Amino acid sequence: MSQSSDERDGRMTWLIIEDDHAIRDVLGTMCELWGFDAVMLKDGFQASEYLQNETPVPQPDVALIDIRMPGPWGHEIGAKIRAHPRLHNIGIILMTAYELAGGDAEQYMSISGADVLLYKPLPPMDDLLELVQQIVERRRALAGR
Amino acid sequence: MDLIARLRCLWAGRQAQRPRPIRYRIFLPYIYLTGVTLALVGCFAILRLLAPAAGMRGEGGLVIIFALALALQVGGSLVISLRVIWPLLNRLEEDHARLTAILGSIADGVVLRDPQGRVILANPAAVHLLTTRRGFRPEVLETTNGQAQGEVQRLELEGRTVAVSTGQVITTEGAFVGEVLVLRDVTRETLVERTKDSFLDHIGHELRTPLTVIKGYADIMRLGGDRLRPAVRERAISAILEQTTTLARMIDDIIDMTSLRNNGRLALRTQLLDLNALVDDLLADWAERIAAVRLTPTFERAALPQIEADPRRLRQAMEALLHNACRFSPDGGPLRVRTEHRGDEVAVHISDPGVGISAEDLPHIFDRFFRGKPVNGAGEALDVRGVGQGLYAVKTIVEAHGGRVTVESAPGQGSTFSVWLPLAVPED
Repeated sequence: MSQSSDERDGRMTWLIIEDDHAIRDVLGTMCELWGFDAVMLKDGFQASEYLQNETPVPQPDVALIDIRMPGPWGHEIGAKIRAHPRLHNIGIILMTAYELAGGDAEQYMSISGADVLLYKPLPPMDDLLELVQQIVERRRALAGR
Repeated sequence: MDLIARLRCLWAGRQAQRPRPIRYRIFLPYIYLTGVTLALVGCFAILRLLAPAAGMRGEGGLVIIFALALALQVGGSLVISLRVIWPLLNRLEEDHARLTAILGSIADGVVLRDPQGRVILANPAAVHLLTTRRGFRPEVLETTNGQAQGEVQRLELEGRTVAVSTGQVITTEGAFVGEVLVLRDVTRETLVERTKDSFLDHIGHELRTPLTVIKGYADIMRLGGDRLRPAVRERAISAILEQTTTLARMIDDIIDMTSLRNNGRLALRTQLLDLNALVDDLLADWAERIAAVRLTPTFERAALPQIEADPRRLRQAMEALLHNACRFSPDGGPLRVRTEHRGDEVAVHISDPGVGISAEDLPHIFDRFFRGKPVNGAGEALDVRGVGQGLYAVKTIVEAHGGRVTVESAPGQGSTFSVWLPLAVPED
């Protein structure tokens, strides 16, 4: 069985799904700095393939997903995560550099079951970490009920 | 859905598909036997009534005869009935199985409504589309009652957008037996339409992407401080520099675009210039960038007369072409630049060994904001970031000189862009 972050002294695994390699790299470097594991996927195709595995190792605690990318878009990948037998309760953060028209943000959130939608440029990295920790804790509390 | 309704639909479908006359001849022996039996039973009943009065006996034999006749009749009727009904039932069952399989395999939802507007059939895709947190809700389709045939209505269902089109089901006799509704999940298309590549959206996205990287790495350096490994620091600095260059180029493009935009003809500051010398300078300045993408440049110069042109603008056009050659030649190879003098025109041809341009993209590559969908040999999409201005600018600049730009390209075969310029810029 794969370890969750609880069993690894607060370490986390981030699932980063982003088609821009530079943004993927900066998030990966941030994980490296914090001592987290990062699983990096470059588009919706890779993400769909990854989610076909029912027991991914390491098991991510949170997924940061760009909305607009080749293959299935981020909100569709979010929906797949919510339907995944093991990952359905992980935190999901959608990201976009686009302006979303009124109501679209809610629609993306509703379809994906995401916890939050972040606009790029992303918030300062320490704020992002705090946000991720809050989401992961809330998700764990929900799962523990 | 009840069986009767299902049979009715199947029957309606069968009639519409393959009308068949009922074979009355099959029933003739049955009708004949029924007549004879009824006559015999009638006679027997009369005999039973009159015999005691007449003091007659021996009706037991008659009873046996009539019982036999009756048994034969019932048995015969059953055989005839089974012969007629069994294949019909089989066919009905086969049709039903086929219809269920077809409807089940269609990705779009299919719903059948009876003339009263009640849903009497829904395939799995339709059930999926019409199922909300409150269960299966076919009543949401009520808004499509009276919708004209061929008209498409969009329904919003818990974050999903479903396009519904309707068609009437009419038998060959012209009887209206219901409506078929086709449901398609168009959530993605709708979102894409709304998050469309409007100019501002596009520019916003292109500017925010490098900013995200710059801000991210600046944060990493701020938070990492002295703990940062030299390799990570190096990566951060390189990324910041690279993204700043990208950002600067985009800003230049945007400013330039403003001057190219809606102003009719581009203002030129022309002078007599040597096109070969301009290409020489350009290739020297670009040598490092060209080598970085493993392109090997060659320059075949023809003897050219001097031309009247704006050197800054012309260089800008050539740079855009070189930039594309570098971007879309992921495997490197020969980069051939050649000049030519033909009639009262001079030309610069730039041939790259890149991924080429699809026939679909080719007519649009000089359109403003157009960004094609180039793929490499492995079918992977190439990075097409930018403001979609490059080739539009080339065309605008060259046409302002009274020239033209042409392209020859095919997927996987590289591209040759040719800039044709008149020996003298035409007077306004």
